[in-house]
Amino acid sequence: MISHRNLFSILIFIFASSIAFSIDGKVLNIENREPVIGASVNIEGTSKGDITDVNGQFEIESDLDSIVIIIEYPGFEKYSAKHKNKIRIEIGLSPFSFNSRELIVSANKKIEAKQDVPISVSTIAKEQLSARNITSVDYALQYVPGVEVNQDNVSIRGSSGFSFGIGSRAIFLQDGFPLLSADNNDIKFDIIPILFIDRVEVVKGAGSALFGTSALGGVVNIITSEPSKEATLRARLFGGGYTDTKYSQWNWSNEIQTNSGLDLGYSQKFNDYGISASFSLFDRNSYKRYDESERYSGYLKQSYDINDNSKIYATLNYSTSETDDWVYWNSLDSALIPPTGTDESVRIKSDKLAFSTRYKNVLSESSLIDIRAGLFNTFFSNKLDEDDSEFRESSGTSYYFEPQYSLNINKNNSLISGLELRVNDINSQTYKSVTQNVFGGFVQLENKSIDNLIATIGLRADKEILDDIETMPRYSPKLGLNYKLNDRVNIRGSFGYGFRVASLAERYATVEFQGFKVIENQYLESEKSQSIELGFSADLIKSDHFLKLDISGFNNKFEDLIEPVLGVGSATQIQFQNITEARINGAEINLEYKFKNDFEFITSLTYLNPEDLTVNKDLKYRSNILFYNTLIYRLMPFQIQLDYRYKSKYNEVDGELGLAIDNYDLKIDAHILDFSLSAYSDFLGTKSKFTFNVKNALNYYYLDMVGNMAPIRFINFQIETEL
Amino acid sequence: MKKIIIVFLSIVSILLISCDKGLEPVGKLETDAILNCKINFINDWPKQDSVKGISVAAFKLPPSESLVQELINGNAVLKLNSISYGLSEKNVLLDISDAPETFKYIIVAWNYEDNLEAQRVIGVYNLNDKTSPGEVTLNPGDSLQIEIEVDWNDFPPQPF
Repeated sequence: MISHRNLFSILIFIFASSIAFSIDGKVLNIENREPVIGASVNIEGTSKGDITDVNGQFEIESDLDSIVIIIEYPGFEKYSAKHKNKIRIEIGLSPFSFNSRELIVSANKKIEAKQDVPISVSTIAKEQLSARNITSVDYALQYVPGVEVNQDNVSIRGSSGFSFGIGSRAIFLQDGFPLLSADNNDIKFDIIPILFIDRVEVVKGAGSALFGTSALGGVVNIITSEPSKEATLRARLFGGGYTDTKYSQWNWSNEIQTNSGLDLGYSQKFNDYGISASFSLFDRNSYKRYDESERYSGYLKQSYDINDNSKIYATLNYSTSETDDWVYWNSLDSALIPPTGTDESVRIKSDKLAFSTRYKNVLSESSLIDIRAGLFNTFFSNKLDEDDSEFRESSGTSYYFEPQYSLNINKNNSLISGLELRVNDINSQTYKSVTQNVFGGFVQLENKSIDNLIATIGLRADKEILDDIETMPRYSPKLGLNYKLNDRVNIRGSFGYGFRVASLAERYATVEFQGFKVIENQYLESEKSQSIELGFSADLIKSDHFLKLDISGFNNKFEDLIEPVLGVGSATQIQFQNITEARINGAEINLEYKFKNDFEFITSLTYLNPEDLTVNKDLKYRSNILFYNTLIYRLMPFQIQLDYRYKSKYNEVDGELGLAIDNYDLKIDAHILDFSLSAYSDFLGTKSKFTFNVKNALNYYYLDMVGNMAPIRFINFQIETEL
Repeated sequence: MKKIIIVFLSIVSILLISCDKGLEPVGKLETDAILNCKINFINDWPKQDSVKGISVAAFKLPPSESLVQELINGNAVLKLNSISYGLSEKNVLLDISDAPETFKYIIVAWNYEDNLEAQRVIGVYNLNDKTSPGEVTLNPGDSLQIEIEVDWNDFPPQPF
């Protein structure tokens, strides 16, 4: 029986057979009869399924007499119909007029529609990486509602302030594999292959019940694209320069400071074997003196279909860079040069290597196992003599192993469970040579017994093991509810725990840099959080207009937050301590309006009330208001995009920073306007796109962080092409 | 659709017009001078737990009260805890932002307890002997190197 008869049609070829029951089909866009490539085809209530190939074709088999086939693809209405006997069918999918049931994987470690999850999730589409000339994922995250990036610290709804780049409070994943360094537990954005990002998913709120340590404030999951069905060669070349500032005394060079880069990628699937590979180079001459950087990175993803039910992936990421060691400015009057006397010959060498494997096996129609294993190695050094007080060097490897088992118990109940082992092993003069083990196990049950209600309940236990320190186990429960009022309106609620074990750098750092000295505190406890969220989403359609509205309110509590404390023992001495108890409550409104395919307007407003309950003040380095807007107008082959972001100023910063940083206490709102103009072309038989892009078009001067001017106006030109 | 574009652009325009101009310089470009102090340590360092920090400071006038109080009074330029334990030699750069300036007492100080006030002068810049501190004058843009010897077995006279 066909449930959405006005949205799709089935056209027909049925060839009876008396052998095994199988369906060989083809999925077409009903409007233009083009094949729909990459649509997921599944047998309801089982784990069996297929993905349509470049011709839109799929094939599935079943021993059952009759099955319900479900076909889903972003941008199209869901198809659901019952089939009997061996048949060959041609199915026409109807595009949504405006909306798509966007599929995500990060909320519950399984593929599901974004509307069906109980927690707020934002996604960044790959098209936006191109339009905004994104060279690193951290820059892309700055456009996500409710997210701020403070010099490599990803702050989801205020979860993180500024911690000298140490100890991420959001777990950072690539296809579910964690990429946090063993020593600092920080994010190395430059290892991610921009060319092969399919989308970025950001889950907001504590997520340790599934993801364990570091998911204190949320989850950032980079989803890479599958190898292309046909040979695809991609290239992106870009270059641009910073304009002068309005104030001549800030202009420290007569030359234009340029950024340039090149990405080359190749992808193809040969029968059962698929490969995606890319190489990137990036050269940055910063708007700040002593902030240059050169980077080379490579990426290789291989997949192999062992049989119809099992598949294996092996992925390699590598990046090497040399950067200047900019920390803070000379003063507001000399805002783009480092403090006088800084040794500008010091450079930071940094290498990163990640190798991850994944084995996925459909054991039966109702169960599958998914095993991830791999390592992430990082190294950095400022290449000073070892007896120099500012010598810094560390190398570490984070090993990861996670077997996951999923079971559809019956029509209404499904289970996901798994174990996890993370081993952080570092060999460092800056920190210490030490090993940290974190073991965890989780189980989550999803129930759909009540009509239109999806309920999830889960629990995870984790235990950190260090050589000479006793730690307590952590238990992280979660509860989620999503109720569909009708086809267009959902309400949701979630509750969850989060935690983050102290990084080895926070425990053992003994380092000096530019006037500061960090001392160790090995007895740090884990940070903890609790998140509650209530949300509402609605899709409103009238004629050619589509409006999507999402409103959420949240309350996040944090305990034992680890913060760098200045003035321990001496004025410029820093020690990481569990000092802060905090509460962040707020609300977020997201609104997305589309008119046909020509015009889009996306706006989000996030209000945060970040209270430091320890000292009864606002939490440091948090904005109260984040207001992000995007306007896109397409008149093919052209596209114009405007992004405007407003971030209110921080109310609190570290007063002790005044000992080292001039004008440390400046506070200012941020108004950032970006502009891009793109033109699509079939230049020389290729699919090409030319983009002119201006970041901070107003040349508005605001702060990235204390003593750090944010990027000034940057004009860029980019060519992308695909063969 | 036009209405939406107009509304969006109007909102952004209002926000941009109402916002301030962003950061701007408050003074003239600094023309700092650099005093490069090369510190040489001789003889054995004391036990590490008694070395809370080694700092370098240049005083405009010889201090008459606690070193910390003189710093707060603006009588000195300081590089706090700028030398690690156990070194035999270290260059410390002092940024002189208000040159031209004359410094009559340039010292290395040892913070020997968990109290910033607990400072002892362990080295003084001098021309001939430890009892007569040397004087330097720096003009804007100058970069001058001086040497200070710290003998852990023989401290100079304390200023007060």
